[in-house]
Amino acid sequence: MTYETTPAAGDPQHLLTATRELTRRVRREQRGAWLPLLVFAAATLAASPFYRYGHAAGHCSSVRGGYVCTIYPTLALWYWPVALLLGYAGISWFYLHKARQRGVGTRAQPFVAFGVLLAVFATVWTVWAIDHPGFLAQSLHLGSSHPSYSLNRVASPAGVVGLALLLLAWIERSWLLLAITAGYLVVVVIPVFIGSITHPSPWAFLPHVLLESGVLLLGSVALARAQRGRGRPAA
Amino acid sequence: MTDHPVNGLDDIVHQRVRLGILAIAHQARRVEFSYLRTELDLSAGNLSQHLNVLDNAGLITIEKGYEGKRPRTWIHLTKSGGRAMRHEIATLKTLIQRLEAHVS
Repeated sequence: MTYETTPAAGDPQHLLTATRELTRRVRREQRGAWLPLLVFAAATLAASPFYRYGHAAGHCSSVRGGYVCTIYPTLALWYWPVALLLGYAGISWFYLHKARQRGVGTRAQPFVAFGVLLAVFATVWTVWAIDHPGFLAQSLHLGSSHPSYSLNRVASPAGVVGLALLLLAWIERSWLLLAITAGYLVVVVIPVFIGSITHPSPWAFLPHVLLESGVLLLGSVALARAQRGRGRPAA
Repeated sequence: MTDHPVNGLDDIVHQRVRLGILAIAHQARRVEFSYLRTELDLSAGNLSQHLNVLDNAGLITIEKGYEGKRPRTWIHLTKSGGRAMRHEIATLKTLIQRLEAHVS
């Protein structure tokens, strides 16, 4: 594609339109969100054995209206920070490699930095929440209710992945990525159980893992197809 | 001198190709010479002339180097380059508003 010349090239409206079009083209060139989604889908699926066979740690505390319990497999607790940090390192390399290949710098660094910060926060929060299961419910006066569960899910590794993706959607000015991330965050916070809450199945994690990785995987395919549809390869 | 927005236009920036270079460098932070040449559909000599004008005005910096054995030239927008571009865009918008108000 070329920068078109017109007889009225100096006219303000034409200059402004041409400048906006150039900016849009550079943004399209810089997009690569299909890879972070693919990386996070793989990391979510790979967490399954850690959820299933990790020794569970948990505490309960009484709050207004009942009990709040946190049960978390210790292996998954250590799997997630490692997986997310490795994932962000890979994503960072991908964007830098793409920038060198195309000749256009990347704007993905804030996303990577924010993602790493959130991964650290999620780990610290999860360790804290295991020992203080009623903290959110008590401090926000939520009782043993659904909002307390949803807030804990947003602060989980899966939740913070969604928050980092919101920033990426803004950086890449991508409505499609925003819609996918919104769908993903809904899937993260809705409660899905196998077995009863008092006696959860050892496979209780599975619906969430499948739903979350499924949304991310489908989103990755949709973004890659959208990018290829504009006549450029996805990477 | 009146406060007409035309007086706010900078001759260096208010040029189709140079404004294009600044807009791309602003979005990309760092852009390669060959990418600019393709996107702006210019010859190497023509692009170099425009880059020199912007470089001399302190609006961009030019970094030459190698990636492997391949020579590369990267263009960065300076802080004053970013300010100049934002000022130009704001002035263009004001001009358009004035023109539209005048016509209607």
